[in-house]
Amino acid sequence: MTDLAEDRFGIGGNSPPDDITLLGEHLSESTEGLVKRKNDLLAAVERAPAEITDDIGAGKMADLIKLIGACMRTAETGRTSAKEPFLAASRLVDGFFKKITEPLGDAKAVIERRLTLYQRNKAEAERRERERLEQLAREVAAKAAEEAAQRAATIKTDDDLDEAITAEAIAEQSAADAIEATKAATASNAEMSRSRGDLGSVASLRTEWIGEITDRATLDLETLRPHIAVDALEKAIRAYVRAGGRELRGAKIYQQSKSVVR
Amino acid sequence: MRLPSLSRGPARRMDKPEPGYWLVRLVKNGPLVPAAIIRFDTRYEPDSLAAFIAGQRVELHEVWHRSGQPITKEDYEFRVVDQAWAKQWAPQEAQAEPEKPIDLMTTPLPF
Repeated sequence: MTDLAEDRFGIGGNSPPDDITLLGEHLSESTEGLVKRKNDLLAAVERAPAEITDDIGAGKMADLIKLIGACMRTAETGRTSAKEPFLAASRLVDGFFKKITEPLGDAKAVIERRLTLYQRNKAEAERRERERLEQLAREVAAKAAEEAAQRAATIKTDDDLDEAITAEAIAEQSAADAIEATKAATASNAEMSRSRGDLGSVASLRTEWIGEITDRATLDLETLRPHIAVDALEKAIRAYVRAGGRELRGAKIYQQSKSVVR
Repeated sequence: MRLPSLSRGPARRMDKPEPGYWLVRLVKNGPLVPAAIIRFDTRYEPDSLAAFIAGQRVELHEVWHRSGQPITKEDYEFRVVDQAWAKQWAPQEAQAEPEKPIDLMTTPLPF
């Protein structure tokens, strides 16, 4: 008994082939002629002379290029027509679910705007409160430090020494509190605005820097230089050349000729 | 001598054929076929014009009203013979059936 036959008796052996396998088989069957032509053309390219020495050879080579182009176009037409039902199905699926996600997305955006507004106000109020507490802590710390210094300067008895030590401890604690209050006052917006829902949702403000072009003519391109992708630079050079530019520092602009077969 | 063009343009008077040799297509996407308009003199037809496609006599407008690219007389004569040879000995080649569009997916490969 062959391995294949043994597989057929196993679990899942009666399952039909999946859609992808069927599609692959269908494409292989329906493009037999095209694949043969492709192989013939590749073989012709192998047989073609390595160098063209006369007009007859050039004409044959141009014909071969034309035939390769025709085969590529036929393959491309086949590809688009074979793919079209799937694209249509894909568009249908996208459209179907978009009808669900789009109104929900719009509604979510409305609520997010409300939440953002609330959290901005909350963060601002929290910041003001923390700054007030920081100011208070600093005043207390300064006062405690002053009192500790006074106590230290007027030590005469053992009781005075005890009181000075106590005042010093209070001053140190107050200074530590003031540092903590400063840290709290300079906390991020996210920390100051954080809200939690009963379902475990956590909402906080995310603050980010945004850059927008306000004047294209005076935009400081030199500062941006290390951040411009090579692709974007090449695109800009191509546009410059198309517009008639023939000289550009840091770039080579030259003519290149290439055979075109119609 | 500059050969008259069969391409579209102001240089050609459609009602005034001129002698010359060209490559023309008989059908869209068909092979290039040699065509000619030749001046000749006979006793009964002095200073006349005759048109040929692949060596066969045709009406003047059959050549003059087509678009084509000029060739030399030698090239014309070579191509007429070449096409006759293809008809007899290489029927699979596009030249053998000039009235048929070339199927680029089945036509024989040049190498």
